[in-house]
Amino acid sequence: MSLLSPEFLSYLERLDILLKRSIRGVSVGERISSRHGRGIEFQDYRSYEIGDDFRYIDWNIYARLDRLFVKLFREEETVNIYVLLDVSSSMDFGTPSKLLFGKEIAASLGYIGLVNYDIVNLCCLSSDIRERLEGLRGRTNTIRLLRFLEDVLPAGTTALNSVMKEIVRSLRGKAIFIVISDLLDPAGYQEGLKMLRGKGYDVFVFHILSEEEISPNIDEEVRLIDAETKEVLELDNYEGIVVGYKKVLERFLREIEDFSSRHNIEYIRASSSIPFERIILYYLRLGGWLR
Amino acid sequence: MRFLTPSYLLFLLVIPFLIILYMLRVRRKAVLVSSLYLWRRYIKEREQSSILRRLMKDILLLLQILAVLFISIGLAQPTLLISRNTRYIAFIIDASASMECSDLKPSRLAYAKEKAINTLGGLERGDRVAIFQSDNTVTRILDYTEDRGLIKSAIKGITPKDVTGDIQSALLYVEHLDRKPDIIFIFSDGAFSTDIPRDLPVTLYCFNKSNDNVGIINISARDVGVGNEKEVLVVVRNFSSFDRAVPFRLWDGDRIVDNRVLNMKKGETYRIVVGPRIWRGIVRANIYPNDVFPLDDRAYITFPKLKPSVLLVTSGNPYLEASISLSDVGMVDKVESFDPSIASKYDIIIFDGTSPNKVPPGNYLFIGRMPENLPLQVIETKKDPAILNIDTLHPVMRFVDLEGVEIRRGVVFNASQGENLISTSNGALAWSYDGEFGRIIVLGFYPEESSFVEKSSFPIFIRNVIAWLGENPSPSILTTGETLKFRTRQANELVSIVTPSDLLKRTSDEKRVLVFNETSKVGIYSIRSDNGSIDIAANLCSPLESNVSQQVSERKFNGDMVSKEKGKSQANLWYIFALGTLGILFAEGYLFYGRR
Repeated sequence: MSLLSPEFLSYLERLDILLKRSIRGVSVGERISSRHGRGIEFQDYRSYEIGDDFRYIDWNIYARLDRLFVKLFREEETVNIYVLLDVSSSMDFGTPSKLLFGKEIAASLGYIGLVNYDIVNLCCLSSDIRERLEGLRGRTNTIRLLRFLEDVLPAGTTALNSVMKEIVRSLRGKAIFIVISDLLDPAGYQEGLKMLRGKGYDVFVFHILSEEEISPNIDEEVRLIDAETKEVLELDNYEGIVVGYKKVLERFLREIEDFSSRHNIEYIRASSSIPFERIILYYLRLGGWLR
Repeated sequence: MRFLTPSYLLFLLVIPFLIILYMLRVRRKAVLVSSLYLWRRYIKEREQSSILRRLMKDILLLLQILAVLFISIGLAQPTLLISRNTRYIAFIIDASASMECSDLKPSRLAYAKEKAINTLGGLERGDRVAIFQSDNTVTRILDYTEDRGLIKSAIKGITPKDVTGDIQSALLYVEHLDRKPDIIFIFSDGAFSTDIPRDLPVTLYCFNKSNDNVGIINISARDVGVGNEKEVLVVVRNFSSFDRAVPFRLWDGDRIVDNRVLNMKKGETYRIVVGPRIWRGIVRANIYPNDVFPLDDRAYITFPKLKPSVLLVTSGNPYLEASISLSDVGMVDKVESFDPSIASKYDIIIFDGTSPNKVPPGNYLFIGRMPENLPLQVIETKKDPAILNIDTLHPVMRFVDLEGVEIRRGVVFNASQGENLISTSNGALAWSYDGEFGRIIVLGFYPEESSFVEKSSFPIFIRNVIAWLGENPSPSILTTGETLKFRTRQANELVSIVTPSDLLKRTSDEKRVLVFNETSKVGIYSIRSDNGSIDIAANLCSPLESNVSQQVSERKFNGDMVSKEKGKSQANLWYIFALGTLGILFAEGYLFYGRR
C-alpha cells in the first residue's frame, strides 16, 4: 500500500465526505436519506392515513388531542460515491506527476467512503472509460481499492464530456461524483459536468495542475510536443511569451471557477507539488468537502 | 524598364534556397507539455490581438527575399528611357609614345585620363560620349553612350603605345563618323605640329611641362661590299632647349663596341657611324640623357640572315652548280636521285633534267622536266621555239637578258594558275607559281640545249630564282606599329613570337604568310618557327615623337553648345535598388537585434 501510509489511513478514518443535502440512496446505510422511513432519528408527524403502520402511531398525542398522528423517522441510506480519475497521458506530467497525485487523492477519498460504509466506485477515464472498479463497500475493500489505483497506467487522450455522459447514462439512483482531472480537454468539460448536475448529483471537481503548467520555464524558441497527441507546436521566442501564457491560464482557471460556482459544483484546485496529505487534511476540510 | 545585364536576374534563384534555409534555420528545442490546449489558446489570442507581432515573425524572411529581389534587379541594371536633349561628344585621348613622358608624374597620359574623367563629370545628363584612342592609328574604344561607368572604365583602360601619334587622322576619323560629334575634346601633350582646323568644334587640353629630351631618331646598317661587313649608323638629336652632354654606347650582343659622350648643342643632330665590321648579334644603341622621355634612349638593329638551304638533284651540271655557288645560299647538297623523306630539310629543291611523278608542297625549280601534280599541261616539245614575251617585272626575271639566246629544244606548256615568265606562240617556256603549294619555277628547256648558260644572265637568273624561292618577307628592322610579315615553311604553321612584354602564338595563312601587327612596343621581336628563330628590331626612331615639347596651344570651343537633337536617353535605376537594399538590410538588422 504505497499510495497511502497506515498512519495516514488512521487519520482518514476520522473523516467523512460532507454531503450538501440528504440524498436518496439505493440501500440502507449510514447516511441520512431524504426519505422518511425506518430510521431511528425522529423527523416529523403527520396525520394518520389508512394503511399506515399502527406501530408508528403516537398514542400519547392521540390521548391528548384525540387525533391519530403517525411519527416519521429519517431513513439512513448508503450513498454511491463515484471517483472519476483522469488517466490520460496529460496527467502523466509534472514533478511529481499529476496522475500520482490524483491517485493519492482518489485513494484517500475512496478510503473515506469505504470506512463510512458508502459504496465506492472508481472509474479511470481517458478517451473512454478505461477501467472501472465498482461497488466497493466497507474497509475490507481497501486493498482492492489501492491495488486498483496502483495498477492504473496513463494512456490516451482526454474526453471528459463523452465519458461523463456515458457514465450518467448507465447510472441509476443518486450518487456523489468526484472528478479528479487537469481539465485540459480541448473538447471541454462543461457538458459532462452540467449533465451530472442536471441529474441532481453532487459534483466535486478536484483540479490538478503541475508546477510546469503553472510556471513554464521557456527562455528560447521551442518546439512544444503534446504529451497526449504528440502534436507539435513551434513557438517563436520573444518577450512576454510566459507572461502571455500565464494570462491565458489565469483566464482558463477563472472560467472553471465561474462555471463551478454557477452550477453549484464544489471546486478545488491544487498543484501536484503540494503534499496530498496537506490537501486532504487541510484544504478539503477547509473547502467543506470533508468533515 | 529594360535591363542592361539581365543575366543577373538569375540571382533570383537564390530566393527558394533562402526560404528553404529559413525553414531549416531553427532547430528548436523540443519541450514536452501535458497538453497544447492552453498554448493553442495563447497562440490564438496572440494572433488575434497582435497581427503586427505575427507579421514580425516572418518579416525577417520577407525582408531577406526583398533584399535578394532588389540586389538581383540592381545587378541587372534596370534603365528607363527618358526623353532628353542629347549632345554627342567625342573624347580623343592621345596615347602615343610622347604621352609616356615623365615630366608630369606618373605620366602625361595619366593626367590626360584624369582630366577626361573630370570633364565627363561636368557634362550634362543625356550627353553621349564616345572614346577614341589616338596613336599611330585611331581606335574607337567606346561608341556613344550615356553610361558614365562604362565611359570611365574605357578611359581608365587606355594604355600608351610606343608609336608615333597621329592626331590629324583621329580628327579626320571622328569628323567622318555617321554621327558627327557636337564637340570634340582632345586630351594630348600638344607634341604635334599639325594645325587643328579652326572650324572644328574642338577643345584641346595639353599636358606638357618640359621639352627636355635627347633621343635616337634613326638607326640603320649598310653593306660596305667587303664580305659580310657592315656599318651601323645611329642618329641622335638634342630636342632640349639647352646643350647636353649625353653618354652613348653601342652594343653588339653583350659587347660594347662604341662608347663615347656626345656633347650636343640645343637642337643639334649627331650622326655616329660604327664599323665596318661583322656584327654577330643584336646591336643595341643606348644614350643616357636622364630626360623626361626614356623611350627614345634606345634603339636596336638585327642582322637576321636566314640563308636558304638547297638540295640539287642532278646527274652533274657544272654551270648550274657554279651559278648556285654564286648565289646567297646556305647549305647546298647534291644528290642524283630524289628522296622525298629528306625534302622537308631544305628550303629549295632544284631538279635538273629529272623529276619525280609527284612532289610534296615546297619551293622548287624544275629544269627540263616537271612532275605531274603541277597545274600545267604540256603541249609539245618544240625545236627552236621563238620567245615572244618575257615578264621582266617578275623578280625572277629582273636583270635577266635573253636577247640572242638560242634554244634548240624546249617543252611548251599551258598553265591554269601562276604566271608565264617566258612565253612562245604556243605556250609558256618558263612559269612561276606562288600559292598554297609553295613557290615553284619551271624552266621548259635544258640550259645546255641553249646558249642561255653561256650568257651572264644565267647566274643572275639562278640567283634571282634562289632569292625568290628562299625569300622571307620579314625586314630586320621596323618602326613600332608597323605590320610585320613573315613567311613560314608550311601553310597554317604555328609560330611563337616573343615580344618585349609577352609570348604570343600565331598561325600563318594558306600562303604561308604570317601577318603580325602587334609591334607597338620598342624592343626585339623573336619569331620562332620551323625556319628557325629570327630577331626583328622595332624602334620608335621618330623625330616627331621625340620632340616632346608642346607645339600647339590649348584651345576651348566656345561655339554653340546647345543640344542639337532630342533623343531618348537611358536613366539608370540601379542605385535606387542599391539604396533600397541598404535600407532593407538595415531594417533587417534592426528587427533582428531588436527582437533578441
